[in-house]
Amino acid sequence: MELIIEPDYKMNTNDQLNRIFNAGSIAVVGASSDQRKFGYMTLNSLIQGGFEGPIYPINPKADEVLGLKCYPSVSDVPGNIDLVSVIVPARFVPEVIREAGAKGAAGAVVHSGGFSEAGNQELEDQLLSAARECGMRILGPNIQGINYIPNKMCCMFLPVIKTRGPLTVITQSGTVTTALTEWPDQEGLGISAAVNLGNQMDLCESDYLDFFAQDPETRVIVMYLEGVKDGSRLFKTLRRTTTIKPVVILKAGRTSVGKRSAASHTGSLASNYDVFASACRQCGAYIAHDLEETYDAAKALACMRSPRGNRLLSVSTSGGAGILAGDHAEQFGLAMPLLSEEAIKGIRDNGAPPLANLSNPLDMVTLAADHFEQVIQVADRYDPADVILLNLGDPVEGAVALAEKLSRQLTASFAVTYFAGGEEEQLGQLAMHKRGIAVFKTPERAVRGIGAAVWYAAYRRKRNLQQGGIQ
Amino acid sequence: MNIATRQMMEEPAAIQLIQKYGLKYPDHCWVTSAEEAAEFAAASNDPIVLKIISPQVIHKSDAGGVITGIVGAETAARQFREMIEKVKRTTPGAEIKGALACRQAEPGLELIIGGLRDSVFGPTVMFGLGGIFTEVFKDVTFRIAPLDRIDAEEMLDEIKGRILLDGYRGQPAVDRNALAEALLAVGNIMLAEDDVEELDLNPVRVYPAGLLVLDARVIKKY
Repeated sequence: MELIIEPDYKMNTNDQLNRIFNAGSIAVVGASSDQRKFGYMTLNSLIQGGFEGPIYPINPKADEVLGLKCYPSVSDVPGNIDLVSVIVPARFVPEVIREAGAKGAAGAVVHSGGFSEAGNQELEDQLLSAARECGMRILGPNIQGINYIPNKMCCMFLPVIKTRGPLTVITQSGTVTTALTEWPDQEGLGISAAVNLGNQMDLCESDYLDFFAQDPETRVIVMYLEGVKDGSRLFKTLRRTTTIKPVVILKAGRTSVGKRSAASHTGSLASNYDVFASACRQCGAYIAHDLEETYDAAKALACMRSPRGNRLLSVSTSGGAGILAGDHAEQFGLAMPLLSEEAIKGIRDNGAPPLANLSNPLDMVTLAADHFEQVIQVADRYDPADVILLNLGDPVEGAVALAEKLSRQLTASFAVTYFAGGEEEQLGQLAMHKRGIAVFKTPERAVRGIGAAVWYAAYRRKRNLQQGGIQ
Repeated sequence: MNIATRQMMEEPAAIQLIQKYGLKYPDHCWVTSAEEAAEFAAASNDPIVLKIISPQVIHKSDAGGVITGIVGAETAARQFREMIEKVKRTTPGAEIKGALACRQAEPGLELIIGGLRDSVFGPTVMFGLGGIFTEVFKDVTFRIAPLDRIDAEEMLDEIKGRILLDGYRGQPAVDRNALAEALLAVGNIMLAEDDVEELDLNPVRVYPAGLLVLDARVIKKY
């Protein structure tokens, strides 16, 4: 393939990212047989992740690494290379880029540190000019890596995540990437991509937002940001992205106060965090306050049908589960209106358990799945709420089939809490996530996640945006 | 940017600026003598307020430079003289350019509306409830300019004290429309007036119909 140097590289960012994330061949520069080294871990992740194209380990001191034929340099690789994963010391990286460019690579995942983050701006400038010379794009440097599940490409030293699902995680921290990808993996919800931002010398968060806005696998984009270089670009990009699909943002630095003079009240009150959070809300991005809320909001936005309004009906096995949901509803912008007389009569005449408390929260006082199905189906006909929460606080036999039926048949949006149910609950949660149902481990977390879905739906409704990424 | 490279506009000029963008301020007059203060009070049907005009006086109340509830010409003249004396004592060397005499506004819910230039996002508008709500609870919210009508409405709904806007304990609901318009106006000022660095409308008093800005502080770049 002939190398095309695109002078106006920005024009092509989406195409270039498409080639990078859908790479058909990868060279791992700095591949190693030493299990303690990132060069081993990254190559191992690509193999374990199940990458289907050729992988070329590059190391002048080895003939074979992890069972793959090893080449002394990128130039020695027989075929074309779409992507290079670079783990060699910083000073060698610009030369590696030139060689990869000559091989037609679209981009480089530069894991290596030792650039601007270590005070070495000059070397970072050299890296950028090497990339510009050959029309390549740089991811990083100084990153854990990227993972794109549709291409089975775990180009990341850890973790190896293979569960395919609706979330794309873009972060400025390796640890946060690990947490926000391991949770959906362990719960069976899955991810479509993970991207570390690193120094953002070339590609930045806005480039990735634009790309994953168009990615059909990604239903929700989750971001963890520490700082932003170009705020007005992020603002415009976010506004565009949220017309297509939801974005959840966790911004670090909530307690740090901006350095402003106190010549005005406004100046002294405007912390960088508060302005940032307000700007994101203005663009339709949901601002989460901690990691757990970030994940819960993303899950709700990925799995729940867009709620028509903020009314919630909780239907629970026990009084406690319902009361806990009710306690948190208002805080997260939800209302729990009482059932109408008509609805109460309808439910009572159509198979309500004798002891059930037909209020909101609705306490079933039974663990029988068929009773739940009957009551919730009947209630739904009276339009009692915009979201119905199946609030299970004990092991319920047949819970998975129940949740699946309800999620398909109800006119209201739907979510599940499943807790205090032992092994039955653990297996049930996994099975529900695999069927694309939002399940939360506590009523509080369920209500918080639902609150995010309601907030985003309201943002769209107020601006007359048609249905986007959430169904 | 530090204080040395900034400048606070004199309030009469700041008022002119905000009025250009449709914000309302009570009837007022820049008076430079006790006689002029008396004349303004005599012509007013309502009590008046005197506020010192001096580039050196940043916090007018703390310096004794604000007197409220003045009724009648004689009182106004006496209060004017006393205020000048007091400010001279509290802020030695202050250049005193007179006082702003204003019609005293009716009581109402007090709010703060502000403008600033954020280092990441640029021109920004702030909204919050006045007094302790901003000072103690920091119950404020922001939007990047230009903001639209929906953004302005969302600001009103986003503060924790929003219940006070709807009327609380028998108070009537305030004019949300006027508030939203005021937020849009401040956004327009921050967009169009490049040399405005920060802006405080504090307090803004909002009524069941309309609102009034009772103090305008505008910090300009040199």
